[in-house]
This record gives sequence, C-alpha cells and structure tokens, in this order.
Amino acid sequence: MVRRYGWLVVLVVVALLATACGPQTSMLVTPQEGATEAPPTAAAVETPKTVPTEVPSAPTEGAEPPVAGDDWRTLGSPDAAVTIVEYSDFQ
Amino acid sequence: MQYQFRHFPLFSIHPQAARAAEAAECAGEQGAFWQMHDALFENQGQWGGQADAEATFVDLAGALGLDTEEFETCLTEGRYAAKVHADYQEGLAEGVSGTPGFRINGAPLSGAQPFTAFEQQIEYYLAGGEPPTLEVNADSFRSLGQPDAPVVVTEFSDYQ
Repeated sequence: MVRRYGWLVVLVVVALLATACGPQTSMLVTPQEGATEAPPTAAAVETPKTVPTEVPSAPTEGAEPPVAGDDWRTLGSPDAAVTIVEYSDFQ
Repeated sequence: MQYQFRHFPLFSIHPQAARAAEAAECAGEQGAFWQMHDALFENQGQWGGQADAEATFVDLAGALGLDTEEFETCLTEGRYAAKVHADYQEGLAEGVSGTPGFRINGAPLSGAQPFTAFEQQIEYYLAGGEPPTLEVNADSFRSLGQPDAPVVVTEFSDYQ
C-alpha cells in the first residue's frame, strides 16, 4: 500500500512537473509565435499594395465599373485620368 | 475612367423630363439607378407626353423588382426634386444648352456624338494630355485663348 501511494506521489510529482513545465515551455513558445507573427504583419502591409493595383485593372478589362461613393449616378474610380460628365434628360 | 450622369431636363419642351429624372433617383435609392435610366429611355413612348406618366414610372419600378410603395412615396413627396434642380443649375453654369451635353475632363462635347469623338478625347487624356485652357486676352475681353494659337475662330454675331 505504501509502495502504491509512493508511486502515486511520484506520479503526482511528475504530473506537476509536466504541468509546471508546460506553461514555461508554452510561454517560451508564445514569444516565438509573436516573433513569427511579426513577419506576416509586414507581409500583410505589402498585400494591400498589390490589391489597389489589381482593382483599377479590372474595369479596363471591360468589366462593369463599380458605383463609386454614395452617388449612384457615378461610375468608375474618382481618381481616374478621364472623367466624363453627361448632362441628359430622359425625354 | 469615371462617368458621371447629371440631370438636365429641358423643361420647356419636355414637361415630364424632370419627374422622370426624379424617378431615376428614387430607383437609385433602391440600387437601380442605371436600370431605371435604361427603362425610361426604352419605354419613352409610354410616358412621354402622357398625363399619367408617374403611373408608368411606378410600373417600370415594379418591372425592375423594386419596392413600388416606397418608390411611389419617394416620387410623390419629391424627395429628389432639389437634387435634379441642382443638376440643372450646374449644367447651366457649365454652359450646357441642350442634351446630351458632355464634359470630358471639363472640355465640352455637345450633342449625340459618334463613339470616335469620345475615343479621341479619352486617348488624348490617357496619353497625358492636359485639358484646354481658355484665357481672356488682356487687350480684348472678346477674345479667348492664346494670341499666337495655330487656330483662330472668329464669330460675327448678333443677339436676335
């Protein structure tokens, strides 16, 4: 019985060590994860640069230009090189 | 390229044009400005010169799958009458005298022009061309542009 409890004590100590080491190792890992997350954010900064260059190219490929801003009468990009204004009536 | 539509209802000869413009705006509120724009032109014969033009506008809104009750309320209360009027005033200030009147980077192009007229202008600006500037000569308030320009147009005119 004493030997069984002794083994239990050993198991508990091993378990405590494991759990004690667990957080330590995970805490060691967390800064590494943080460090590894830093390059992705730098990469994430670069990705928006590629997105706007793709957006203007879409209308030039013949696609329907998107409605800009809150004015549904305006089509295309507000910073376009060419702006056409049409004054028209329906009758 | 950016394309902007402005209402220029010719009140004197087109009595329903302003209301049609308002109908387009009310459709725009429901995300269907250009659909109504096309529908108005395609069905011009159904409402142009008709006393019940507004009933036709509601029918067109219904055909486009819009909320006709909301559309009719918008039209009846004249929600966009001021916007249409502001467009008209802007057009007058820009020197627009008839429809359709265009401004390409500010330069006027009047009437129903062929595609090549637009293409020429668009290519000019895409190639880095600058909008034309007309400056009043210091010596004569009747002259516009540069005194040493390669082209000079002289107009002899009266006011009646």
